[in-house]
Amino acid sequence: MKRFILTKLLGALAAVIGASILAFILMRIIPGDPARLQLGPAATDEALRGLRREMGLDQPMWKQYWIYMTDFIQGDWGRSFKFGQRVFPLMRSRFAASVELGITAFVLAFVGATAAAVLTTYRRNKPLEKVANGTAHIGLGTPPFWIGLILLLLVSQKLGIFPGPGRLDAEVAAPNKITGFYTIDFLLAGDIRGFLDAVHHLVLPAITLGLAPGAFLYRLFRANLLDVADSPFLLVARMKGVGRLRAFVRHAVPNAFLPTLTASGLLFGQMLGGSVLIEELFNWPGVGAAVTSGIRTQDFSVVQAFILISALMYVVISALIDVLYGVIDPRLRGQGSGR
Amino acid sequence: MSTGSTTDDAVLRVDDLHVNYRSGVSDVHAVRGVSFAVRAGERVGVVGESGSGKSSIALAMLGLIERPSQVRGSVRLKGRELTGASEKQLNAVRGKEIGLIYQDPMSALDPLRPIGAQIVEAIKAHRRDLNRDQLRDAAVALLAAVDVPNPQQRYRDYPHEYSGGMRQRVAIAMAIANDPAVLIADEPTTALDVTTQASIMHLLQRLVVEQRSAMVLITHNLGLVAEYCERVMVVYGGRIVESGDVDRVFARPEHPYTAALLASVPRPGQMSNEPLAYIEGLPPNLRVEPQGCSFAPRCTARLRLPDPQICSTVMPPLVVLGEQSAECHLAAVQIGSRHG
Repeated sequence: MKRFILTKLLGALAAVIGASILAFILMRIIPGDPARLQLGPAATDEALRGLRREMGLDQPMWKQYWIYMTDFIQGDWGRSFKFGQRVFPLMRSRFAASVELGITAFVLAFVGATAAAVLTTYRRNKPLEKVANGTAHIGLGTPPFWIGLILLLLVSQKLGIFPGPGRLDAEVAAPNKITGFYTIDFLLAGDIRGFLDAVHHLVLPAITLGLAPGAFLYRLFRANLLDVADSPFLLVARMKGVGRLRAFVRHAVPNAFLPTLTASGLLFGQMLGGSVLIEELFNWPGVGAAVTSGIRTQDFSVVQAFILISALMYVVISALIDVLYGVIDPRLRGQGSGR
Repeated sequence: MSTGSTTDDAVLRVDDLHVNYRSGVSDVHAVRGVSFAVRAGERVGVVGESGSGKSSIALAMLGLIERPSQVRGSVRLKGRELTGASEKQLNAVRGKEIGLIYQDPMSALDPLRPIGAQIVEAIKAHRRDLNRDQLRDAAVALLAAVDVPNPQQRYRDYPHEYSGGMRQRVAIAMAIANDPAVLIADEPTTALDVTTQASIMHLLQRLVVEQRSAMVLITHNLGLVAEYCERVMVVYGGRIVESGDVDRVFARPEHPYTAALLASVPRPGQMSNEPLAYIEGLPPNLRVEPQGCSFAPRCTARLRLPDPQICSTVMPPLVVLGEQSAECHLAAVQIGSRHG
């Protein structure tokens, strides 16, 4: 078990370092001169050279990387010239917004997919099956951007059930920054009204972000459930005198859930990384928008920080998934290889 | 020996049982009017080829044929009717009065749950009064009863840590957990190697005798039936074509199908260049209702009848000869001539 954890940790570290090197090199081989982009076309050669030296661009690339990484670990993530701000606090608040939305969307998608898959397989309920399959088709076949637009028009504008874009109503002040998650920060401050407002604002973007992954998970989970429903061990449980529902929940669901775990983890990681279009649409100050503009303007520090943090999140999630596999499936326990 | 047809001593009585699987355009009529009785403590073998309806009979007896497929007829356990009973009533019978050992030990256990928990599940379904420690003790005792070594430790192990033979012992432990009056063993040794087969069969026989359970042994292995059963029922095309005392039926089969089955058992000492006997033709298509005897297309013995055509046009009569009975036109004629 010790060895298992150690190899996992080393692998994870290698993945993060690899991602950072790749990000670093890619940002530097993109054509264009960041100093020129910053100072504009009228800048003198002298000024350009000065800025390049200041940014460390005159150093060899390995040295630049080394300086960047040592600074990064110490919390100095550089400065974004686009946002005119230090990158660490910038990315912190941006990631907080994206992760809060991502987690909400994932929970909605996962719970919805699981419930729909279980309900439509336990009893072959035709109407429910049609509704669930139809929703899944829409979720998989329609661009999220468009779904978000329709939701905003219909549910927010026309019906007024949920608020429009933004993280909070105009008259609600943002909470003191503790975690950066508005919902949690409001709760920590004991502000229930603020909390409810934050939740209210999360619903539509979370549905928009979660619909496609949820639809995917639903179809995967359902296919697995239908597969497992024919398993002899289910019949054997029934032959013991265990009721149909109990046998289904206890034996079919966990076995069907297992193969969906990897997909769930990957989708979760993806959803945490923000989405430009959805953030744009819902005026959500997440990482997606910051990174896209960062790439366009060769704002190194922002893009690199994003890639590093994303890699880190993926690594942490896949480690969690590995552990979860071990918890659920005894056959994988105590094997150094993992999956 | 009493005849198997008196009401008093039958634990299980099946009357005109039909199983109809709904699938696609036409139904599969897998069990077509099967009737039999099992006496307390009796060991009955049910033999037949794959797809003859053996397992469907077992599932139908436990009420485990799911809608939209249909079960007709009557299954009575100690006089109580099971067909049409509510799920709640059936759950009280399953595993309590009738235990079933599933044919494939490799897939009969949930891979994600410890062995012990799966045995406890079988006990607990009918014993709400036991606490956790008592359930555990009972499960460990069951593991010991089916000769699993180190039951205390093996209790915590998972199915993948058990061999095939050991898993089958666990399946047996689950089936006998509540001392059922009837134990149905559906191909209990098919998936196992020969030496494991023998030890599993010995174990089954010992337990059945100890618990005074009746056993219905479903198999295509005639040797097992000869060795472990008192009575045999030969199933073909969803019907019992011949039944009776094992020694008698195997010594003097009245139905040509039984005779052909017996002839196709390889004998030890058979020369390796001697071709194995087999029954020509295919098992009947259960989507089609036969006009006469469903074995007629493969039957060569019917040529001995003055009018062989009768076999494929008229349903054969049930010919009863003491302990033995067969559904066959030829048997009817032959017995008639022997006794007439």
